[in-house]
Amino acid sequence: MKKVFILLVLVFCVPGLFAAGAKEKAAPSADKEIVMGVSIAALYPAIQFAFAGVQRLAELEGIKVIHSVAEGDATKQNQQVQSLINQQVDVLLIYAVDKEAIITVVEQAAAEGIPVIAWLRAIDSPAISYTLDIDPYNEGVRSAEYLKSKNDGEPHVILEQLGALNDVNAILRREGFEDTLKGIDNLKIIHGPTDWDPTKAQAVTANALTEYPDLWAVQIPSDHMTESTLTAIEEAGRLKKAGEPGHVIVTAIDGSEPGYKALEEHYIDSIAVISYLQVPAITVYTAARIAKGEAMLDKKYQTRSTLYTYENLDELSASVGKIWGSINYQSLSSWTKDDFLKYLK
Amino acid sequence: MKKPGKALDRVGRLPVLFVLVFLLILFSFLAPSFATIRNLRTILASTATIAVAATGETLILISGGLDLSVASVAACSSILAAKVMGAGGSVVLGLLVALGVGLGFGIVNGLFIARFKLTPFIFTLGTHLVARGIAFSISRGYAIKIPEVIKQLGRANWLGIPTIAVISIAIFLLFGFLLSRTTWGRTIYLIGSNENAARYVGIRISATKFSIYAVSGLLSGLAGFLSMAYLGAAVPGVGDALLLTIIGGVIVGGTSLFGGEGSIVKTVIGVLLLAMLVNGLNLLGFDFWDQLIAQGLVILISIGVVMKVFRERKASA
Repeated sequence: MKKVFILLVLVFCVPGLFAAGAKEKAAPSADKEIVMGVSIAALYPAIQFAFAGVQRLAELEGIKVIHSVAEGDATKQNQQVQSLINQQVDVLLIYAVDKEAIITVVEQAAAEGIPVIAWLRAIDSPAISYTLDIDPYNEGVRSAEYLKSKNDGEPHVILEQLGALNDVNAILRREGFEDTLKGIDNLKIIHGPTDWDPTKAQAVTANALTEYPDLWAVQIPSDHMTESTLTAIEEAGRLKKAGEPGHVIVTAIDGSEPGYKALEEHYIDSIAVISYLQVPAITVYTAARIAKGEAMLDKKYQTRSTLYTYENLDELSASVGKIWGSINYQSLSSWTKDDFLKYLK
Repeated sequence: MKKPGKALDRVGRLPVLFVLVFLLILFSFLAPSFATIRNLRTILASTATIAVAATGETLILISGGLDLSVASVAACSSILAAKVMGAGGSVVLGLLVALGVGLGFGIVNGLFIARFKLTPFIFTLGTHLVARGIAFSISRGYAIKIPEVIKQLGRANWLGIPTIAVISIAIFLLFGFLLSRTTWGRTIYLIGSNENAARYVGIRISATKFSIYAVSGLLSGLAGFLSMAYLGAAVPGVGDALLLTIIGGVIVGGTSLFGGEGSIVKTVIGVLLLAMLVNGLNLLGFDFWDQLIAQGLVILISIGVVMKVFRERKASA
């Protein structure tokens, strides 16, 4: 056993003899290609869409993107970010699995002169150069306010589906939703954990409809779980269009394709749509400026959500812009710069 | 005098080591930043938590059992320890809490599996859920801050090696010795190979199994503490993704799912192989989806090599 251990140690140490030590990184010169390292917690549909846009616009701007996906594993993400630091990228974009567990490597990156952008999820560290965030608490508030507007004072039960239990966006959406409905005595909230899994969303909805056949409403924390939720409602014989008698009110967050389609068909009532269409342009141009060492006046940008309902969908689509779920993310690969920039106006 | 071929023969019993060395050479040539001290440190530090928990899982798998709770117990231990310590509390107390929680779960697993003969898969699935539930219930899903000293432990190096990796190496050496050089270790192999035969020769099977699960729980507690040091916080969901990596590392290394076969060295190789694979593919700039395919193929090849060696050894025996 001793010999095998010695062999292992040798195997792992010899390549290191050729290694270079750590050194502080200088900002790239004007003509040098910028390398952007991107660490993604998990490829949810919204993130996949936003990242596809970032990749396309970066390509158009001559920025090289190296990315890794941590599959919801904080340990793996730390290792992946360290790998990106080791590759001496010019700027790091981190969509964190956990905003606390990532701080160690964020500080490490900053110590090596690599600016870090907290992407779509805030990281509470002074080492962060810029934060591009969504507003999950407010998204929960918007869904709850829609339900409040429909409240007729009768006793009702609401199924609140929960996202991943350790996902800060899921937690804040839950808090925003529940804080808004707090103190309204006729509305009873029951919980259904989903871990962002459509199959679990279907199961918790089916269970809720078994226990409460007159279920009044369902809150979906991310509308990529819309289809499975509607399947459960259909199996319980309650699938009706909004406004029809016996309809289960369905509120959702995000604006992905399944949610958008269901809203168009009036099977769900509202979506707090996040402005993911703005994200690629803000991300790429901010990252480029930061990588070149330019000072940013503001250190944070928070995208706003817009409440689309089955009543105002046509009107808002014309005035505010399309819901991102109405666009196939693969089609982004043929977009021009202007296609991205028009969403900043 | 030892025969010169003996060491080579031992290396020949570790077929996945060849896959590991092959990948090491391949990545060193293809990715300029792979074969650097800092990158190797990255790999070692990131595997420390997994390696310690995988040591306990190795003991259990060799004995013919299974523990699905290792990763959740690690998460639960870290959350409870962080809760007790707070951001500025006693580190020693935190360590004791982490070890105590891990040991507690290990004792419960051991008691019900060894004494009351419950199926390990089912029972540890239950304790996995309980541990996960406690971690989330106490933390409400949020990561908990820990004292600065523990964070520094996660960043520190000892003789150029990450300190948490040094701790995991010490655990490997200790359990490598216990497994191969003590009666307790040999008993574990015998129980895993043939429980009836072990009973007939007078081995106290229940007591040994109980001790294995208790030790595995203790190691999960330590893994939880190390995960806090590595991540700089106690994260309730840290166990969710770790379980497959832990069991995967042990199995890919060459420890049998059916008991009686395996070693700590094999686990070291398996855990390093998986970590190196993820790291190397990242450095090569593989797309996420392509990485999954490449990881799957390497795991399949490793398992194929292990199975071939098992069969050849069985045939020659």
